[in-house]
Amino acid sequence: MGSFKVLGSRVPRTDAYDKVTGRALYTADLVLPGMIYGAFVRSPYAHARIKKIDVSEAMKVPGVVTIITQENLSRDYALVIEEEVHAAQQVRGLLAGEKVRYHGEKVALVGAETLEAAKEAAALVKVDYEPLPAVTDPREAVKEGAPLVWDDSQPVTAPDGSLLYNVVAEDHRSEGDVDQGFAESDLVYENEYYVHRVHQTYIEPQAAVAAVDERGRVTVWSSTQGHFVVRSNVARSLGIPLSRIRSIGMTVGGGFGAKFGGVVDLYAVLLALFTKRPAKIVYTREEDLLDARPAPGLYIRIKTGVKKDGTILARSAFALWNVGVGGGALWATGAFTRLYNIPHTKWDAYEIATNTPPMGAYRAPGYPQVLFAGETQLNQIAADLGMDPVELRRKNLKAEPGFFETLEKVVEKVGWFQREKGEWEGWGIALGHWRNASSPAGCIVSLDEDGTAKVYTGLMDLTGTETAVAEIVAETLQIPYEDVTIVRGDTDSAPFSPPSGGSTVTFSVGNAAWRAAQDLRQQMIQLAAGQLNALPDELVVADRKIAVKNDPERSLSFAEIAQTALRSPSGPLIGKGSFGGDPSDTNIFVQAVKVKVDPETGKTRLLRCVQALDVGRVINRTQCEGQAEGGALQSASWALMEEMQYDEQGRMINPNLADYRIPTAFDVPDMETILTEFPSRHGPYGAKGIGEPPITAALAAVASAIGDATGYWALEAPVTPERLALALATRQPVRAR
Amino acid sequence: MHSFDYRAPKDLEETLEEAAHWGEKGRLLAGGTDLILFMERGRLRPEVVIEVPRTEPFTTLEETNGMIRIGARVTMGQLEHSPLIREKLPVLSQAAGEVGSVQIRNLATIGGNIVTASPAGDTLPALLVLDAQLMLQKKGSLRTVPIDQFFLGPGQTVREPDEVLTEVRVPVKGDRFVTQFYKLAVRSYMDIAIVDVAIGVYTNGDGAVEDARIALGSVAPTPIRAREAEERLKGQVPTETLIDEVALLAQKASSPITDQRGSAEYRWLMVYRLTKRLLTNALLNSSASGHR
Repeated sequence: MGSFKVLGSRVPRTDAYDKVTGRALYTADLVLPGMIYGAFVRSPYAHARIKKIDVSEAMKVPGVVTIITQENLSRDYALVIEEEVHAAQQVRGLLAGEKVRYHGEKVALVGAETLEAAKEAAALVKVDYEPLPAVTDPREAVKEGAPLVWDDSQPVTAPDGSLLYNVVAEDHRSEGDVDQGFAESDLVYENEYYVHRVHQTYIEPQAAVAAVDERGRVTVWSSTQGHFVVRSNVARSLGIPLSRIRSIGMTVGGGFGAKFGGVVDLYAVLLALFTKRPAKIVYTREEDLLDARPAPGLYIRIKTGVKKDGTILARSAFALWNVGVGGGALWATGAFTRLYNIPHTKWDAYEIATNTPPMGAYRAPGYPQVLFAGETQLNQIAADLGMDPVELRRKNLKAEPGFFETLEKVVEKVGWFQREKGEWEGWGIALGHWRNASSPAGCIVSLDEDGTAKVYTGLMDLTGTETAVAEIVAETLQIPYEDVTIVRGDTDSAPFSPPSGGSTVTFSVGNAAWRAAQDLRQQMIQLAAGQLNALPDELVVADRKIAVKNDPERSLSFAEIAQTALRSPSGPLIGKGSFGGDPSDTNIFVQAVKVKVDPETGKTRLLRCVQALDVGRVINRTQCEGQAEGGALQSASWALMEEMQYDEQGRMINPNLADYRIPTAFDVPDMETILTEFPSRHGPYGAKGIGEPPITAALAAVASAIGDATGYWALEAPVTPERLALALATRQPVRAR
Repeated sequence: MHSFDYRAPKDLEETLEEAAHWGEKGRLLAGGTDLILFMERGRLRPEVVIEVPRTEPFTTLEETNGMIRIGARVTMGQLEHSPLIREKLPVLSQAAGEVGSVQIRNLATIGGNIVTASPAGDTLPALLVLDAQLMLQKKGSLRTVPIDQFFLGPGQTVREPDEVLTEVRVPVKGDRFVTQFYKLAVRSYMDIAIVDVAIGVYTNGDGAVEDARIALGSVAPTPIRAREAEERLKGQVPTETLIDEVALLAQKASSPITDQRGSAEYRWLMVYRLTKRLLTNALLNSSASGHR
């Protein structure tokens, strides 16, 4: 590929100045003339029959415009969510009908002149409930006699012949013959792991504004990862033709998989349709924790057969995904086999309905949970075999591009084989991975009269992807990054783009932008060739101009080319690019951590956090490092403190950021990040999508470091101080200090 | 949030007038870091919010005649950073410095922390160890309540609705009084305590304990003193065995519940271990510090 002018640099993000100065416009900032505010009536119960809803008192609150319940909704309306990146699909009522099935479920929607009036009225809607027993733990939900979340659900037969209740989907895969593999193994390990549900905890809660004009055309502004997805979901859910919906993506304060729509956008549109007035809904943090799209929980039992020398012969898993009242988790189950040469593999996975909110995607959906189990178990096996965990990986790792090299980078950086630890300190290492999604995308690049370029795209920038696309265009046209302007369009003005999820944007939109820039470049060369009386092959593109290779005095600047085009029959120069979705290649992520445990309180402190990520090609070094650090930290936080807690009745007991904790800067050590570059065959300049992989391994690495420090191998995440202190107190005498 | 009236009295006298006039219908606002949240969540719906003025005695922070006077509006940030408090009452400085975040500590006040009467109020065990006296004033009368007689239950105190906490007085106990504080929380910063432990011990020249204070937070309906544990220490030359016994007595004094922050079992175990740790630090390891 040679050397790059723009790629690999640390240019500032396209949105940096607007965000730093507070100029960036978020959905909650929007105020439209005549706008009303929405507030939800939510279920205080995890499971209950709704006997009666009485809105009469609530309607008397001054300023109330409308109150919507499932009863006065059209039969044609339903919540239909399809999200292509993760192939997730859901269909259910927009509001609770005969039953509520989780704490915080939407029961009614109030629209009022002020937010205060809407909230006051929502509190006055009288709902007569008959509480029912609830279940929030998938291990309980599968048992006979457990409350049935869906009335029509039938038990299914598990591989061991037992009946499993509350199953909403299942998946069974195998390669080779695991029974034979286990029979040939010297040692067979079987361990159970449990991961609680966690919330993505983006800084900006869910928000949407909608308006309907006099001709019935709907405009929806929202905090979303994909405005095209919002448009199709509104169309499908509310029966509005696609062409009559304009979806505008506002600046997004984080999504991590939870902002593919269906949480607030449909309801803002409903209010606008019912009242013919613009309507705004902005979640509180409590609403977001109760009723958004948090990650699924997982119970998984993994069985691994090895030879005494550490060679893995067989691995199987039995998994119960806690999907709440949603679905879409199954496909991640196989993540524990992907990196290693294992002759025999098998898994049986089930999605279990519980009285908790519908699951959504969360950064590398399902992988952190599965790999917590898979990688922690490998470290337990290594410890049991008296083998170094890195040696165990070296023995079994597939020889795909970058796998060994990236692992060795961490070994070298840490000084793994010379590592030291003090009392109650421990080291953990774990491997993670992802292969970015590849999605259809279009892009247009035009050349302005001053020789700068404009890029028309429909991407939603969550992670700096707009910057990446600008850099790809700048590199392709051989102009400085500052000469590229990104024009982010809405669904009326932009070419089709995939939602930002599955690490797809830099790869897919990047490819479309690369093709558009190539197209423009060809047109510029053709035009220049005519003007310079040269053959296209004789021309070189560099430094904002096109020159004849052997006679550099004969040249045209980009500005001259753009202006010439305006005076020529060809007209303005516009390049277009479309990408249909060629597959990418797997990137490996390697995580090493060092921890120190206070054995009396169970508190674990991160001392070092070293990670290496194969990015394919560094587009922007700062952004790549930021992704690696942010993902590692989210995963470490999952290992130590994040958990949606439910009481016996199924009510969430920590729906606020005081009790649902994410780390502060004081909980984080210096992050040490290494980037490796093993190009993707089809990536723009070899780039791979890198948003997901960094979250996949620290959960296991931290748990394993705690195991190394204490001899207690965590089987339940997060490993809170309480879990660790009590485990240490019962499993082994706590050493006197 | 509901609608309410707001009053901003200019001085102590006007504050007492307002408090007397509104009684139970009014709530005093100092930093507002608890009050505003309670109002937002509908837990409190006062008709009138009376802002305590930024004047003396509410803003006083000084030492007079062996007594440190801390006005009710003195913030956690001031307590954390004031050279006077850091030198004379380090346990209070440390406890105040572990409340919330920098932004919260810039607003939150000692008066608010006391009057809110949360079992998890971080400065309260420190104030118990320091024998703090609370000055409660209303129109025409003033009374002094020792802090260990102030709390009745979560959010419940002996303060009457028309009474205003004006200041906190803390006797300076001198160099022989050694204190320690530990806040146990999941996060190392900006978190609510699972257990708070504060201790204070006097030792005489022979190494015997003359007097002791052991105070616990988040393990009973109010912050408490473990009096039996304190008594057990008095007059004794500390040994590992004695400290273990004392820590068990502290554990006996607590009655923790299970909530979203921790189980009763864990809190129970932590009271024992942390009391033991702090006493060991204070009495056996002369060089150790109480900081985490």
